[in-house]
Amino acid sequence: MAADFPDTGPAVEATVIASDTADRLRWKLASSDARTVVVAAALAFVTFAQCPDVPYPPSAPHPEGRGDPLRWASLWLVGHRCFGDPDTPAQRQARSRLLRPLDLLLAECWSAVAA
Amino acid sequence: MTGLLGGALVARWDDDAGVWVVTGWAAGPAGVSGLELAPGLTVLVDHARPWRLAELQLTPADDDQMPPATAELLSRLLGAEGAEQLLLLRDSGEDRAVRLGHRPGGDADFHRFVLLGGLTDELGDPAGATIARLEAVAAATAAGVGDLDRVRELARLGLDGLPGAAWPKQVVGLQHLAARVLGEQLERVDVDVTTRTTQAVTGLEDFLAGRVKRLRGKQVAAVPAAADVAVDATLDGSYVTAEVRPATAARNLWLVVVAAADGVPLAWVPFGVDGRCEAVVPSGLSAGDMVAEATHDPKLAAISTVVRETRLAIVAGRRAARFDRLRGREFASTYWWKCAERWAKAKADQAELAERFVKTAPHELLSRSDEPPPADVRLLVDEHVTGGP
Repeated sequence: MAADFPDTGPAVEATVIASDTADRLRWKLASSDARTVVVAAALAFVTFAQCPDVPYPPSAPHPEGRGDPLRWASLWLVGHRCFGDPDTPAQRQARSRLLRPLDLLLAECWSAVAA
Repeated sequence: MTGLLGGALVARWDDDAGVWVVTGWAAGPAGVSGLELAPGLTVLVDHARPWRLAELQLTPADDDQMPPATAELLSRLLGAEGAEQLLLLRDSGEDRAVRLGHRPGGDADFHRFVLLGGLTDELGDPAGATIARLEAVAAATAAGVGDLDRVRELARLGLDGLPGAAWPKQVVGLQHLAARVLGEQLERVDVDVTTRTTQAVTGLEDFLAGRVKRLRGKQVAAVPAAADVAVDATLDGSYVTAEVRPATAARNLWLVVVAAADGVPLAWVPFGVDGRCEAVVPSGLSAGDMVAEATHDPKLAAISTVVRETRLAIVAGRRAARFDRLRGREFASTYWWKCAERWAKAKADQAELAERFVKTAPHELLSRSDEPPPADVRLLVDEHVTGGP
């Protein structure tokens, strides 16, 4: 059984990203080899990180200490629905299958843009 | 004897593609519209200046026996002599083009029919498509080609579209005309259809006067994934909500939102099974700052700037052409300007012509060799379009 991915370990700090940096990051994400759904979640992540005034979707689940709200909202927006209260192991695993590549992609593209 | 197609036409046999081609004018910034009128025979007109033939394509049948309906229509389009000249090109063994001679202007009703026939395939809006079919039938009848199977097919589709809908009287008039093309009679006889057949198309002043529509304040320009798909997108705060119709088209379909100015990808979201989705975009943007596109491949849409810009240029050009047909010069100019910008980004020559359309409507901007446009370029369907270009 795969280990659960820690939802709260951000590879990219969810601090405010400057607008021009965010756009370069978006281009980088869109031209990556990652799965479409992962890129989609990363684009939502960048928008939330760039614009802290943007609220999460009201329908998105709140992790209540079980994960990063920003990441959960990003997954929710791209159609991921594996959230429970409490989570089942299967739900955590399904979520980690997206969160892991999401963080890897963000870290990779962030490094390229910041370099 | 000349035919329904006029102007300076050049005919050739394209050995690589294996088709006969008659070329009129190069396609303008709004692209071309057209339809297959008989087996293997397709006619395309310039969308913004439909009185100009863009191209006629004729594909040989598999058994090389041209269907009688195709042969007869070809003669009606080019005249018997022109049709013969065209067909001889394949057997001449030479790779050459021949001028069919400068003919008088093409038949305005026929060109209108071709434009409308093309629109029926482009409109995602069922009501708009139904009206376009009925209006196409009226134009075809006025042009004397109401007997074509393709016209009868359009009449049948037009009559069967949206049963029970409450149509304006002009559309009811078109329905009666379509029924006559099919040799039928409608049960409802609440409109006098004894008037000339073209009146239903051209007598629309009251109906069209002063009723130019525009995008709603929060409506995001949306590009459908295919001709038979319509997308509506609106901005509410920092969220773009979109709906694709029909909902069955939503399978594996993504909404891609890009910045209108530079194409930066802002959001990718898959449509749900209900045909809806919601995308988050940076705060501070207005609906006009972004373009939404429904696509099966967001990555391709992001990478291929030229493809995207070309598509968006044609969408803008078609909107501009529609506003010009509706005499909405102000809105038309805005869209021609957007069209010109898109063509410029796609590094295409059409940008220059689109820029000229900003100041002068296509039906007023005539070259010395141009044929005069018809007196009335308006289309009933323009007033009813809610989806598509």
